[in-house]
Amino acid sequence: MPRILTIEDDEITAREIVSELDSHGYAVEWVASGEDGLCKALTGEFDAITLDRMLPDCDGLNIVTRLRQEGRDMPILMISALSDVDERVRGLRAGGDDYLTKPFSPSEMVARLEVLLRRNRSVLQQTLLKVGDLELNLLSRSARRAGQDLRLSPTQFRLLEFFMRNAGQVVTRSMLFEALWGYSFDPGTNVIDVHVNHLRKKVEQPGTSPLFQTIRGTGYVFGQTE
Amino acid sequence: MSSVKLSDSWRTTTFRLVLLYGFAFGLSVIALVTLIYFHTARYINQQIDQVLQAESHSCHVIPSPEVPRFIASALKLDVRKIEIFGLFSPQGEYLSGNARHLPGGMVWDGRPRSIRVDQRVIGKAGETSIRALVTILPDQNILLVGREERQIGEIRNILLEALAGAAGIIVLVTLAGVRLSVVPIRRIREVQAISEAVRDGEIGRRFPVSHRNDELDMLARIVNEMLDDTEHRMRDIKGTSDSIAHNLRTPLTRLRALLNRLTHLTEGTGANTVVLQATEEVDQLLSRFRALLRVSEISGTMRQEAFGEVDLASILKNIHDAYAPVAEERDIELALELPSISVGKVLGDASLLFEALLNLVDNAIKFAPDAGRVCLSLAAGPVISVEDNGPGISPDEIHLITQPFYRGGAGRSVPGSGVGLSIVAAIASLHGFDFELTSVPGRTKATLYCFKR
Repeated sequence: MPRILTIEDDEITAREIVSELDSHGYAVEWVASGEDGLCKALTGEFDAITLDRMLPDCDGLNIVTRLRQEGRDMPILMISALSDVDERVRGLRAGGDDYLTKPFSPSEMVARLEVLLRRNRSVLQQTLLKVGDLELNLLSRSARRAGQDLRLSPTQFRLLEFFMRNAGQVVTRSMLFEALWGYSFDPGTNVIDVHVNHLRKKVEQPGTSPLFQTIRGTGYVFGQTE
Repeated sequence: MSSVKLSDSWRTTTFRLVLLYGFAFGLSVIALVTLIYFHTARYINQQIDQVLQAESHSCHVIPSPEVPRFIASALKLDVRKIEIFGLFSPQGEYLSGNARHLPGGMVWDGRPRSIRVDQRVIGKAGETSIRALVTILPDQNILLVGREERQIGEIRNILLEALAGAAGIIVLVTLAGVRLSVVPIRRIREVQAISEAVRDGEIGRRFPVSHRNDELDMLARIVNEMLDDTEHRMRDIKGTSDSIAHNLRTPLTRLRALLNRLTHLTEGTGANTVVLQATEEVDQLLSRFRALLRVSEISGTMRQEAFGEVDLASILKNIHDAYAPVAEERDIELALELPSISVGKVLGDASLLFEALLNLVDNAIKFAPDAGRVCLSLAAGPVISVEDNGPGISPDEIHLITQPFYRGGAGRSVPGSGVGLSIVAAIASLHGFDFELTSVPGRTKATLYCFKR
């Protein structure tokens, strides 16, 4: 069971983070102060950290910098009320792996954390991705399902690759947007839904099992449903 | 800092004053020297006249036979060899003196006159200027008494040399003045460069203040104090805005989280639908709150420091890639027009420019009719335009459309945060670009001029 350290000074927000992560099967430990958080994180007992950017006793950035200086490379998801793009860049430059702005949806937080944990376990080196009867060959840039070639546009190919790399996990619209075009912000439009629908039509041909599941208000889960 | 051109200096008051003073000073010196010359020449002439008249008078009063001896004696005493004497018979024949002939053009009235004579008159070569008088002695002989005006010529030469020296000094002083006038220009150029930097968002820049404490330094101090004040206020606003964001976001996050938990708790009950509706309402509230904060963040930002080279064509391709399927859903043709040759890169923030164009294209697609047309184009300049064949914006509303939450005319029935164009305007302003919206019924065009005004 992955162990997560949550450093968050606001008790209610912290409780929600803990509860959400707990419901997804993580062992979560919560600390309210930056100093305690740093001490705990330095023990190296945790697989990932959710870190509030603005803590009463210290700046979250200092904690990230210190951890990286000490050679701790666990994924860190920074959570902050500061949504300025500069703040995000600063957070990521300091060594944070992802940045989430308050107010956030708990499922978005879990989705991002899971992607970070999975990235650490790394499926990045794989050149052939498989989910059920769907195959994606990253070298030949081809996709096949149940023996049938799928004709995908370059964007659809990238979208499917992201889904398959994160199969079984919730991926949010902003995560998909970032994966496709490299810009991290919520477009507030139906752009992603349209792209997913187009991809879905190509992947879920009549006679094949559904692979895309829409999670209301959050995003999608890709993979075979039980 | 670039060098200051002479043509730039010419426009300055200092430069013009220096030239004017140089010119006036030169004229005064010439006038003064000329005056000195004429007065000196007149004075010398008066002195010569007195001597000539005294010598003439002596010849009148001494007995006639003594005159040749007087002349010989006077010539003997003339060590500078400037005296001219000539005694001639009433028929003009030479009798005595160093002048062998009577010079032409003389009036025999005993009054001194200046004339130019052939020096052969006095046994020399060339021409010279003399002051002389011709008078008739009591024995009817004719007496010429004169003196070469060599002294006046020498004084004139001295004064001309002085004038030439003065002219040289005037030129040097004027050049020094011009050089000095360039210094303030250079400083004004610095001020100009810093003003532009401040206008472009580098609010921390300050005007240089020298140790001279001159009027430019006084002005620089005043403006620097003003900038300190503005920067301070901007930081206050930013701090307040951050504080509002932090204080509102945390309770909103809690509310969202509580609703999320309630969704799980009410799963399978009738209340679940209501909770989901409430969650959607909160999400809508959060989305508007985020969008509004976004405008203020972009407007109050000082991000130019993080600017880099941005390939606009690549951004346009990405936007087209993102929105082509969205347009296709409503049979709208989303055309992408890129120039055949590269329009180069601009200095900016790729993420913000992407956001601006995304908002423009999103708007254009929303307002275009089904099976309509939206054209996204990049032209030399670089200039980006997004054109649609939607209903258009009325002239009364077009200047209001970039205000946050303004939803006039056709906009009222179209979903959206209501701050899309405000975000575009804020991003354009941050980059120093011009954003223009033009509209006639059936054609609306948003243009982003991607170069500094």
